[in-house]
Amino acid sequence: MSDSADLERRYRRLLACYPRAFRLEHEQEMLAVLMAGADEGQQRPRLGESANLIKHAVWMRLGLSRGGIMINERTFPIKVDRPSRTLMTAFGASRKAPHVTMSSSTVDVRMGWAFQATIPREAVASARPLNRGELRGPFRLSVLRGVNYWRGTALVNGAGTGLVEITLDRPKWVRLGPLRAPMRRLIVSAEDQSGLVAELNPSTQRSPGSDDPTP
Amino acid sequence: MQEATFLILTALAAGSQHGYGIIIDVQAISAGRVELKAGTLYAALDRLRADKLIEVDREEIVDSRLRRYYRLTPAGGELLADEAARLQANARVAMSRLKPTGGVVT
Repeated sequence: MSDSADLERRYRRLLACYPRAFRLEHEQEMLAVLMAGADEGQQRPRLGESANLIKHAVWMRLGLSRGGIMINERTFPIKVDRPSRTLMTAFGASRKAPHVTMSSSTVDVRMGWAFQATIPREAVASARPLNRGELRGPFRLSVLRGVNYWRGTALVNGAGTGLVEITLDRPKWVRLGPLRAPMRRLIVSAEDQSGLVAELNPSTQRSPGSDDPTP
Repeated sequence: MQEATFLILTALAAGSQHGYGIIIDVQAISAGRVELKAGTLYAALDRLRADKLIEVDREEIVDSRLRRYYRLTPAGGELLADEAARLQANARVAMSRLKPTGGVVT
């Protein structure tokens, strides 16, 4: 057997440590990368390379390193009452249920075509439950639903309760329908108000590993 | 955002690249300081893809091997721009505070 075939067989054996779903998605391209980085006549994987593959494979199996197939993200549906759901359906904004999705690096907020924001987690300065009575300016109108924007604050809600105020440490450009606008504060209605606040609060965020460069 | 993630996104900011291309580019961008290993790279790529910060641009078969090219999504570009601005602001403050001592910390 040639050196190259021997090396490939050993790499395949190492890649077998990964979860099956990850292997199906990435094994062929990883193998190409590993073989491209091999020296002429190399027969065995380098020690550091092997350790790195095994480490990530084990982390992935334990759920400590999230890949696309082991999603550790949490999705919080935006609270929508029945009249609002009817209206949103009529305007085509509810093709996909409005939600806030938290990953290790981003906070993704979507309400159909009407609102889209991807916020870096480290940009979230604070999050807290908000009472309807604390709303200021035009947001005090209790009938407001859907997407409303005023002076850097976006109100994205389908109900008047379960409100969560998210303050950013810097303005972030977001999509309001066809427009883009800077947002410093976001108020959403969440079905799980306390859960969303706990997940967003910087003090409860998972700190990334010191040697793992995943986001 | 950790440095290697920042460098991977930076590599893709210039255009779509395949895995080995990213490794070489990250090494060049970091002046040889960061050498990504395949396990680290694909854990990061898989996660960035799940976060919709990158996406598959195209696939090619070269010498009977799969090459998958990745590119930044608009959300990935925005995240990288935010992070670059944050690092730049921090660096500016650090440099301005070092000036009075002539750049030497005693």
